[in-house]
Amino acid sequence: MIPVSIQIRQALERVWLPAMLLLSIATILLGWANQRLTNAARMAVADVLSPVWAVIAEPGEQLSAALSELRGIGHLAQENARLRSENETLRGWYDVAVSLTEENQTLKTNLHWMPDPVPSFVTGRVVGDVGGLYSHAVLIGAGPQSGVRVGNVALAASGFVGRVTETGVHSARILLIDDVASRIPVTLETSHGTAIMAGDNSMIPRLMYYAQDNHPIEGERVVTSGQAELLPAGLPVGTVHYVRASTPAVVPYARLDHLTLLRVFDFDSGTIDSPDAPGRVPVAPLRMPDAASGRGNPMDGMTLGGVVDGISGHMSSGANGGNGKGQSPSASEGTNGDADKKREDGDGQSGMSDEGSAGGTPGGTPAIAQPVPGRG
Amino acid sequence: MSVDPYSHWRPDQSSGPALAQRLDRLARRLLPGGVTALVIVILAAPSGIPGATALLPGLVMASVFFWSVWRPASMSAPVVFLVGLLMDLIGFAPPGVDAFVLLLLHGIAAHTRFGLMGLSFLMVWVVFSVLATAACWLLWLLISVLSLNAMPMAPTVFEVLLAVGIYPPLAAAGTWAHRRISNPEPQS
Repeated sequence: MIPVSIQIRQALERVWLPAMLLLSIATILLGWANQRLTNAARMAVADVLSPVWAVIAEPGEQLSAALSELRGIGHLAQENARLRSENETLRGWYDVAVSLTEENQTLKTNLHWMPDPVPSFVTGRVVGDVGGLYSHAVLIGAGPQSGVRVGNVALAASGFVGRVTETGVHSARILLIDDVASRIPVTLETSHGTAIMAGDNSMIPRLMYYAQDNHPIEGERVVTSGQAELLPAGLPVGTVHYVRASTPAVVPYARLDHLTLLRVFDFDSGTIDSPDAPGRVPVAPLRMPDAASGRGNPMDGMTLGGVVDGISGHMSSGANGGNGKGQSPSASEGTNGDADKKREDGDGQSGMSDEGSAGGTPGGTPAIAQPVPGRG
Repeated sequence: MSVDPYSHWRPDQSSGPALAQRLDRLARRLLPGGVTALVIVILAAPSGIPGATALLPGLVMASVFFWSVWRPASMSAPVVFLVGLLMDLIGFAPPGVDAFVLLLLHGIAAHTRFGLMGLSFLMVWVVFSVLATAACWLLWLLISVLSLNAMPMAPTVFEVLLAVGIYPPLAAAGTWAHRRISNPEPQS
């Protein structure tokens, strides 16, 4: 202590409390007014503490692994019998899966199915439980350096977990689906209904805004819906369970209170643009070589991210997605009537897209080209 | 007071305590706040302890209350503020909310400490339970107002129960530490 007189020390002690109360009120107001500053401060603290948490969590994980192994030893014979029967069942399912995949592939080929862009993902370890009492969120030890961005989708091994809301330098915060602030558009697979899955701080998020003549069915699968361009469609979320009559909820596949590893996907759903105006016919769309050359290619849609990197990958995937989903009505009236994904917008980016790698020379005459009336 | 010429002990009034002694005193002063901060950090790690997030506010409140009553020099207002701010930043609560509530708790405890120290343990526990309940609901109110959204009440009830339940073991540990680690306040 700095030697000061007793009077000064007593005066200081009397002043500390009101001063700190004022400071805390100022902090509340400042944090409320300037959310960006608040987020920066939080993520700075999380960045500093995430290595510490990773170290702390290590022995706990080893302990729980050892415990579960010990528990497993007791039921070895039982477990073996169960696994044997499960294996029989799974072998049957494997055959079903193989034949269904074949059939699906054939159907998709016949339908000229537009393959979804292959998402890139990173896997991160959950290093912290940064939720607090009134929110549910976790911190993972992967940040923008590893390609994690705000809005990315986090999946556990078994299903959808949440979305990235804030990123620091080498950590990112993921808001879980059971947080009160979480609203996820979902599709119900059996009843084909749509609903909003809203977190309410309990382990099972509620279902809201479903159609009144099409109630969710107990036990049906819930997957994400592609609406609102937030999420890709079809990610498994959980199953419907009625907590009480007329209050359907979703039991998530992922164990939200015991998350250890998360995959963070960058689906890049923002590149799918809706058409500008309904009924607009694009002026002289370029017809590129017939899709026969492209459709047989098993790498369709996969080359975008892997082969053509950087901007060009995004550009071409955006162009493809836009053509496929946005302009299919105009394709039927303005062109030959076949929904053709190998179209481009005239003179732009022909060398950059996967068209060039599929067979056509950049900007020149494609190998199997048919005469294109609009090309000048 | 005359100095005994045969004694080896020479009270040197001008220089005060030595540096090591001062550091020792400082460490003891910061120990309760430091331990509380450490607990906040550790409980945020994915430890798998059930109800860790609901336990944390009660634990911190009990710690702040105990040290504010028994040794306010170790749990001064700036320390309480920093502990609350750390809790807010780690828990992604609106910043300053926990700090504000903990400071109020600290102020009440420190102002009534001489009355509280005369009471029996059970009465102190009852007083703490009332204060912690009020603090938890104030926290709920502040967070609800700041997020413009009524927060669910069930976790708050759970939080209150845990806060009331955590006080006796924490007070026992605190009393042990209080007796074992000598008084860091200047001898008065």
